[in-house]
Amino acid sequence: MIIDIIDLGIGNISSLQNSLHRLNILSRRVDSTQALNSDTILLPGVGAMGVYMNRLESKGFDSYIVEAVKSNVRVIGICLGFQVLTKYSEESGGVKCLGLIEGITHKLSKVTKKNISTHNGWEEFFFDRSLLQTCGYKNNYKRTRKNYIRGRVFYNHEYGVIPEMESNQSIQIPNEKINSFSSLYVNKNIIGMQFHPEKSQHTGLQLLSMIL
Amino acid sequence: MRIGATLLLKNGFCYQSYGWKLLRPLGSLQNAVDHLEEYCIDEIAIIRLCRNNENKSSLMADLKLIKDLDCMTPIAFGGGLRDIQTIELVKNLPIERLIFSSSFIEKNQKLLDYAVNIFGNQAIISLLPLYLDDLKIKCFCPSLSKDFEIDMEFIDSLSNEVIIYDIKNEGNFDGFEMKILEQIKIPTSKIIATGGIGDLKSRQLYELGIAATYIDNTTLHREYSTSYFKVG
Repeated sequence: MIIDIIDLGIGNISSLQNSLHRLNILSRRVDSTQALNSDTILLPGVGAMGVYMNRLESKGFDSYIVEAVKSNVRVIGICLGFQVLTKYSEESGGVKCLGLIEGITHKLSKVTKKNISTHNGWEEFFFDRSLLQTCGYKNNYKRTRKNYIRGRVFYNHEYGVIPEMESNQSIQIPNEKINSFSSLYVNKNIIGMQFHPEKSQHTGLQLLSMIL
Repeated sequence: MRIGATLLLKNGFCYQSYGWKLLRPLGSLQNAVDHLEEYCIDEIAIIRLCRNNENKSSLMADLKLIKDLDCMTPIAFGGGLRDIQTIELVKNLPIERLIFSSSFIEKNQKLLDYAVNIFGNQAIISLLPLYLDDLKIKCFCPSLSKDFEIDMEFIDSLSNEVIIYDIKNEGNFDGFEMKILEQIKIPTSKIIATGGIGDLKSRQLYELGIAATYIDNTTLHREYSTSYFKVG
């Protein structure tokens, strides 16, 4: 299996490729829908929503990804790539997104009571593999026998995802100031992560090996 | 509070500097980054040393090094990001954040807006090379190689975080001038302090609630694990 990473000409794609390389997972950058040919699509995320969504649309990735999800292709979004899966983002003056996740991307400072405008740094992370099964996420590639991950992950964002309904599909950011925002979201063949697994050292590698 | 480190990059090699003047070679970029990862650093700021003497071939060589970097620790990159063409060149690098110095000091709003539009506001860091002279803050502008007045309001409005770089005390163990912070009109939660940060200053800065400290010289010269600095 070769993982397709959407290449919009922005973002830290090579960081993601380096992480996958360490896990012996093959990946390639894809900059057109014609070249997409994998059961897993990765949406990397360093950037601003306006430009990001604009480039997805101009290259036809928006409709392709929506259809791919219906065909059981796994779609994994990281940070901005997670936010673009929601219905709407408040960034860049307000942007209509892909609508694959029942939720909205809000500005942190608009939701938090303690005037938190940005969230940069590391937070504790605990992940139980059984969540994937509970939420209907299928992984045929068993790269690790571990069932739990306990470590820390790296965040760098000013906007975050709030799912519309509370459910066990979403794990909250373990920080009392911003715990209404989602850290990780799983629903069938969609996974979204607000943190950067490709920059979360050992914990990030463990998580990628568990979900890919 | 995050514990990070700065790596200065010049002609393909990394250096540590003392007082913004003396340079001590550290070897290749990958080697230095590997060491910092081994010491469990939270983030790394890679800064190219270019003041008013930037040349294109040196820039391209440095960008190639960054592009080939294999690192699982968050990277912020800066040094010579002074025009749109250079911003275009760094779009695909394995970095998460950009560091601007002269552009903030000279209030180059057009360039900063361009960077925000592509990378997002969360990725924009300003670096202020400061020192205290007669109890007044002075700011050194790298592109002009001279002191320059700074507009704190402008810097605060456009930067996600601000690196306060005490250039006089850089390399001086625990020499960071705390009085600089008293005069900086930027929320402490946005401040990254560097330049003479030892364990004592690190604890004082933690009490103030700043975002991060960069303890570069301490980490690399003494081969310390960063766990000693991780208070709280």
